Amino acid sequence: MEQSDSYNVKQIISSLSHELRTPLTILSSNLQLLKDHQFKLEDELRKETFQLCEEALHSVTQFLDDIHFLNIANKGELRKKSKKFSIDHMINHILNDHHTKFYHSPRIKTEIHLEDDSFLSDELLLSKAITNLLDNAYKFSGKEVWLKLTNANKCLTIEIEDQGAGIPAREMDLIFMPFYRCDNVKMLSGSGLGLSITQQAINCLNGEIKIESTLTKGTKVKLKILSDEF
Amino acid sequence: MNSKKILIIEDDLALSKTLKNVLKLNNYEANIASTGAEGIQKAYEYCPDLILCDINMKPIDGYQVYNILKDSALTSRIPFIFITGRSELNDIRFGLELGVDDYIVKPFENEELLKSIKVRIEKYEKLVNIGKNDYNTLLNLSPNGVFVFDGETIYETNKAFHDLTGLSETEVKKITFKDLITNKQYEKIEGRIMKCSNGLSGNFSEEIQIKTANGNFEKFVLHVSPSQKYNGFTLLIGLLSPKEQAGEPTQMEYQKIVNILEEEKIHVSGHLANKLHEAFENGNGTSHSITTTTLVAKSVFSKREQEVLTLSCKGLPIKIIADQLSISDRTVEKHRASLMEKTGAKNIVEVIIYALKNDLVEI
Repeated sequence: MEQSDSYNVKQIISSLSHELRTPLTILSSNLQLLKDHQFKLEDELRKETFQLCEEALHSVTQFLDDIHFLNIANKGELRKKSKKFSIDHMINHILNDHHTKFYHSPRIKTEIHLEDDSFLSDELLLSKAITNLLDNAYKFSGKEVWLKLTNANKCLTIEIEDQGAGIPAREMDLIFMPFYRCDNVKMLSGSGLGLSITQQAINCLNGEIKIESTLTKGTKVKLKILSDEF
Repeated sequence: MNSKKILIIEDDLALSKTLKNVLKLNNYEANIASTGAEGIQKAYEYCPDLILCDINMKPIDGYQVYNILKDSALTSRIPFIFITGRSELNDIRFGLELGVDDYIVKPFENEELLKSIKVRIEKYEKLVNIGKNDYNTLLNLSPNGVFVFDGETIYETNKAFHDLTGLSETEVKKITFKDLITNKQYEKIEGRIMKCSNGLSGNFSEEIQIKTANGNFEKFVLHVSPSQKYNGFTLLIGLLSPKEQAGEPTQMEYQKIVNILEEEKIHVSGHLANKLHEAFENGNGTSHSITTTTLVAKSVFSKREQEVLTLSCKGLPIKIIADQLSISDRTVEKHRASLMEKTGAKNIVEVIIYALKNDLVEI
């Protein structure tokens, strides 16, 4: 535990530095550009400049939100707010979030079989978990990503399967640790928070998460959530 | 004026786009590489005037990119600026020790970045120009005809070339390399010239006949060697030495120097140019003093230094030398530094020239 703690501190510092410095640089540099030219840039360039600023702002905000979420969860203060919602509606919402990397990608394939579209649970927490898993599957593979949902007997099963880099077997126990990044994908940018957030969210929903992975072949994540009516 | 080309090696696409926009608005041309490996490749293809490089990249980081580019004659002189989130003094010191030109810490002022780029490019151009002047002086002292061409068009020539062929500079511009020799002669070497300009083979020599100033065809030895890449094709260097003189040691020596200079794109300081001038002016008359220097020098160099020197003269990179002698890269560098100190040279190429001139090594 001590070893992973010191690993964590190092990772946190390096992540903080990278996750914050880079977007801050982008913001500062683009703002200077706008200022120096008194906004008189070509339309296309001005549009891109503003867009780069917005994206940088979003990535800082997202990072801080993620840290905040994990902090609350670690203190045991994460509460589930169950409400009836439409599964189809939730999935549409996730796939149409333009802040995600997989936004409108033809690589995302869905297969949805619902006995009942309505489900009683915390939609926000579940969305967070699915979004992070899809984000990973999309990022760590170049081929199709399958999102399969079945809802039967008040039990929602979600499978997210990619044909990507896979997780090294010896690192399987570490992947839920905040800021942990597997050796084989370190060249891809990321904060290392996605799976921790997913795990915390699923725990809070009293759900179950199973990961099967083969290096260079792909990863399959299976979530099982029971409806709160049950 | 041609705008200067800058290569951005940065794994964060949003940041590299931002940098590209800043540079473009300040009249630079910019090209983006999103990994270290892509950066190395683009440094060769794109021939930038300056490289901006992130340090924190995987799997090849900025330090590795720098070391690899520094090892190659084609890219070693491109000014190199690191952009990094690391603000620790030790990291900066490490980078500067490596020989990086500058260090910019994120987040930075655009002004600060642009100023650094401007200063580095100006300094680099100054060096290149000094090098060109000295190099031209040296080239024009050569009794051999030297010309730069792409297999057909002749771009540059030295004085001896004009003396040999009797062609003026304007006349040279109107002809191609083929016009210098007969068709039959050209067929003999056409294939090898093509191979050279495609980068498929190294240098070659061939005996050919050339119409000289007095109208006769005379025998020459033509040496052709690939040089710098320019806009995607390789420039070739041709050297014509009169047949009967080709065997003379001075000629051979001079040729070696020309070859090394071209390969290393190095600038020769004025002092060294003078020394070389003297050596060639006096011809065989200096043989006595050379022997004396040789004795002194040979006893001054250690056995290892002599070995490093010999391998360096063969143009081998540090890594290969280290491998062949079973010592570390660092030790090779140490020996090279000591060689420079003992010969009063500013860089390893001056040491090599010194060694060749004084017959300290056999290639």
